[in-house]
Amino acid sequence: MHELSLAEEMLVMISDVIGSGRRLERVNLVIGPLSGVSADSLRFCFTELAAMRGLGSPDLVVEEPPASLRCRSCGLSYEVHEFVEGCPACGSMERDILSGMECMLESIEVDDGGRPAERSGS
Amino acid sequence: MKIGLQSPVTGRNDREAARNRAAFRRRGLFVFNLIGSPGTGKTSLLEAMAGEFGDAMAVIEGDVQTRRDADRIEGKGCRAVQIETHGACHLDASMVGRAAEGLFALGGEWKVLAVENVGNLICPSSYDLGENVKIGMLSLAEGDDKVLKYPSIFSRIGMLVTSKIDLLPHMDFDIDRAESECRSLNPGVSCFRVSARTGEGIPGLCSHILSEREKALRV
Repeated sequence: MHELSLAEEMLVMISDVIGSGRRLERVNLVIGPLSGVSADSLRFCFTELAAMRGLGSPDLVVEEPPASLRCRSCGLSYEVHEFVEGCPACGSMERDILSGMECMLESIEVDDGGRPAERSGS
Repeated sequence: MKIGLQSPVTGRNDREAARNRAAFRRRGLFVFNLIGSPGTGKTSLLEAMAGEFGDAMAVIEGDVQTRRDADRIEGKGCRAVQIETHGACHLDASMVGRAAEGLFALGGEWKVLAVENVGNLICPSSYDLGENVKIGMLSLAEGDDKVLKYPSIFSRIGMLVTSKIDLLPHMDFDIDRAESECRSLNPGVSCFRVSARTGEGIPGLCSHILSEREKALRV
């Protein structure tokens, strides 16, 4: 259940950027199939923590793209969500993983009450 | 208003890990992060490795509770410090950084620092501790089908250690299957078969770690 720790990290990162007094409406996250992160668990932890920290009830929108692989036998590039199947062209399980380990906070959406755009922190 | 961030969720941990990595490098330490299920034999493996490395190895032990594992390692002549996570299912870089400072304060010259993670095949995969290599561990008392069930960890390891091979006559575990499935996630992984009980495979594993240390220090 490391999703609770990750939700804490997300709130620290978000608070550094938006400061206080702005309502967080939506958080956009990308989770790869090799990230070891459960989107459902993270959503539960994040929503609970955000409410406890006075950040309202933001939507956590999770995109879960497939991992990109390249077959080491025939060279085909292909995408998977699970790793038990081999290359769709030649069946080989020999492959290089090109992406899929990411857990990225892509963007956030805030209700700034009509104030001009301003970004603090890094 | 939409604000773009494009930041890894573990960004703060990654920065701590980079600090750890620099501190380990300054001391000439080769650090491995040992990850496996509870009961796979991580502490027994480190006890057996202590017999090879002697006081050239130090150990940071991670457990939810008790300092039993650190006591076991110290009983084999290696310096060990214990992290008790009090419920947390993984070590993170700041915990390891603090434990390493405590270890360094004790004084000593080591070539290898072993970090035994909390017994878990999922959560530790998200956290870089500043190690040179993650070592994934399986034992013959588990299933030989675990690798593709836990791809996040087995795709990140540099070495796979299959332990308890003295049980091979009694078990149906297909070591070739586990190793080839690990290579299917991770073509560069080095595989080792060991028994902490009989000592089989331990010298080869330790000499590989020393040669990896030489390579790492040359870079």
